[in-house]
Amino acid sequence: MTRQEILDTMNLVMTKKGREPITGETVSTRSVNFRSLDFSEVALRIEAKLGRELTFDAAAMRNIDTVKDVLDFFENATV
Amino acid sequence: MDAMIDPQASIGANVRFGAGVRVYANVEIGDDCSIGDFCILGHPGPGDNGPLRLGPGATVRSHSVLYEGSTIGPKLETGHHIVIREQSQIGENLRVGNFSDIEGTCRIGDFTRLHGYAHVGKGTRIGDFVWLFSLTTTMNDPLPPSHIEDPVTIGDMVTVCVNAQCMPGTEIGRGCLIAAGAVAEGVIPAGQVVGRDGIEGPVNFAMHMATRTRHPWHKHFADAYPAHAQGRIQALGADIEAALLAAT
Repeated sequence: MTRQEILDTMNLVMTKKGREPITGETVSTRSVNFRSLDFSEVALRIEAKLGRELTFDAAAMRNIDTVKDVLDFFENATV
Repeated sequence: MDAMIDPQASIGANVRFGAGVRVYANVEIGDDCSIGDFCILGHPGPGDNGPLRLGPGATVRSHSVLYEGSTIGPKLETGHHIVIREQSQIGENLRVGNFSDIEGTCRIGDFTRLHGYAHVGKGTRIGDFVWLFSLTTTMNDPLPPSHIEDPVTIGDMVTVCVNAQCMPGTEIGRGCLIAAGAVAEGVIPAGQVVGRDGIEGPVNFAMHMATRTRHPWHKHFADAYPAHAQGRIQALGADIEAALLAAT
């Protein structure tokens, strides 16, 4: 799954909840109001699109801070 | 110290009393109950409340106080130092953690769980298979102190996490998850997550990703309940899940 497709999925979740779409990678998830529930919704939507379950590393998830971290995380998980 | 059991109280078979227990006259206790040290059963409340009816198989741990006028279903299990005030109607197998209190005129369904230090405000309506974790509060006075009573209603299979507060008059739909530290208010549709900033989204997106454990909880925690509850849990969970799938 491409980085842009992952960002599009994030923005689908954001706009569905009436929030501004994310445009930059360097901002923190907190500052753009991308919450933990949004994170798991993105994961489940990606899995639905791919038709398979992803494997998540709990330790890696704890280090997520920025939008770039989220994109990196899902990019690695969908390889 | 001997227990003080009023001879007019109705005591079932195989009921055990600890030291210093007091049982008032207007108490009916079912079979096979265990009442811990220094408990008070049938404590007088304001006005005429009728008897306290305690169903069979109850375990009431030490220093707990159950007022007169409540009807409590089978297999109540309490921690220490809990209080259940008068005129409450409680279903089967309620569990109440240490130091929790249930104020008067509450309605609580079957198999509901309160962890320690939960405060259930007067008149609260709680459904079946509900979880209230530690330090949760349901309020009923919108302008304290006042005589206004606007109690909280909590639907079946709702989970209210640690230190969450339910404001007066809140109606929480079945299957909702109220996150730790959240403040629930207003009418919350079924199957929603309420976070610190209000309604966050459908509960079926709430997942512990490392273990893939997801809400609604009937798929990963039904084993904590007895066999005869399983059908109801599965049916309720399936209802909530179907509604969520239709909405998302």
